[in-house]
Amino acid sequence: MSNLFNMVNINGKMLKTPSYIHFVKSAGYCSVQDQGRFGFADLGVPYSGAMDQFSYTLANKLLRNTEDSAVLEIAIAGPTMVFEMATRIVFTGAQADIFHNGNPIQLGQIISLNAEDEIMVGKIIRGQWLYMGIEGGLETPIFMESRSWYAGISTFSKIQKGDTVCYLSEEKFKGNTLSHPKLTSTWFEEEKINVYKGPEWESLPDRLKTQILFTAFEISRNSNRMGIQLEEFIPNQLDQLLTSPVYPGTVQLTPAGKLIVLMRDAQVTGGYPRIFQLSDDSVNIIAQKSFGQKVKFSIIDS
Amino acid sequence: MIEIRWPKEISDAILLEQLTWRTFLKKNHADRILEIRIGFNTLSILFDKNISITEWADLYNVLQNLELNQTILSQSIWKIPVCYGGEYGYDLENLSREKDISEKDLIQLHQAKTYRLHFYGFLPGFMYLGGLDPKLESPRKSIPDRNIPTGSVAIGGNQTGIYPMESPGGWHVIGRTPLRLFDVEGEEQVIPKQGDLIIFEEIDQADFNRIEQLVQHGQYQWKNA
Repeated sequence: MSNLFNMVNINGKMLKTPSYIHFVKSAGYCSVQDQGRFGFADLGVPYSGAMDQFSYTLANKLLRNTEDSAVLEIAIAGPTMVFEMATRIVFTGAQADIFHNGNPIQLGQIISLNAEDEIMVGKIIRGQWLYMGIEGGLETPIFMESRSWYAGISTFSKIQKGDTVCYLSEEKFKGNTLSHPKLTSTWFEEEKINVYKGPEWESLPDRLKTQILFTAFEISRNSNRMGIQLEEFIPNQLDQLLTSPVYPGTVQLTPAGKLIVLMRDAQVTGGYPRIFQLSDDSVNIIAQKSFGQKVKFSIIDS
Repeated sequence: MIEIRWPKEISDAILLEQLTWRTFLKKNHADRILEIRIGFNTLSILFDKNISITEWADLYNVLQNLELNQTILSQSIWKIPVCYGGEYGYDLENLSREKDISEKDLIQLHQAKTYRLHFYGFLPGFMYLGGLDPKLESPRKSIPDRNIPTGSVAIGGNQTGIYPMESPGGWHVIGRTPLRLFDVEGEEQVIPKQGDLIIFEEIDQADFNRIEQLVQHGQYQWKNA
């Protein structure tokens, strides 16, 4: 394994060493994400960022990273990775079988890695998005103030076999690896999704409003980082809009009667009526819902 | 989040009010506003925390009484060279037949107008332009194309626009520009600004190749009309 970088000593200060994670096996959908790319919606640039910001933030908190540190986001199934040099990592979010040099590890457990250690992540068993935080954050290039991968903005969009991703190795750890919280994924089992009324909610006839609020909507397979489509049909006669702003968490009702919950990579404008806006917490909860799970919308008064 | 809505139309008058209000909000309430977005007839304001109804009523009252200054609507006109028809504008022939307008006239109608850039959306660097000749209005394709090439100039509904990067899309592609509409590594990612004007100028294949070379070498200067 290449080890081009050695410890650098400048002015007597030990610097962190650039090291690489080598993806020896890729699987599922894996990308680098952070808080997102804000302030460029005027140019048509989506926010992007970790789908489940709650689990993302937790991973960085456990490692005492700065809050905008970049992490690895994993869907469907995880990769096998070899780390060039020592560091600390932690997994949060969805549940999967994860092995450190063949030994199973838990969500929320801070793992001290030595040079050449291997991490193998299996299939996601529960939830949708698994996060691997790393001490100091991933050091991938910044595009328009964020490290989040989004095709068209970042040079990369998805991890492939043979890829390498940079991090800064440090021998000493400032955190505590002895205790770790018992993380569960029950918080995202919540069926209730809290929403604010969207701009076009009031143009719906009462009959449809009632139907929407009493339906348990099923998450369809047609879901990705841009949006989550729901299965049930709500036939409607709503007028189309002149193109208007939309955000992650905006729920659109299409002329074909489908509800689409826009997610982190959603475009910044849209023409379908916007019936709801999810609360921040609910965006994270629905992000972790898998195909076939159900959600019910509940309006919160603002 | 607050959204202000104007009547359902695409007009300079609405854009003038939107830009005036946004300028005022950014100048006077920057500390509490995270983001302002503009649609054709909407302006949405993302506050850092919920704003009370009375607070909003006061602010809205101030906005409505702001004096409108015509100069906020830019008079900059940007020329966008387009090679129409053929391999680049693969839907031109069909569209010409459907609309019963000759290809030549259709290109002429598309070039004759000055378009207003209302905002960017859909994709990074995708311009929402007002001002398409009603004769060219044309419903979107019922089945979108899987891959519309970068630079494609297209018509959809009552709008025309340019795909800044390869993307699926349902608009009718009538030509292609060699210009780069979005440059992620550039000092400025986009050249035309919200409120600027756009015109299309027909070029042939030789011009297209020449300009494409200049763009690739970072030597192309956008032209004002």
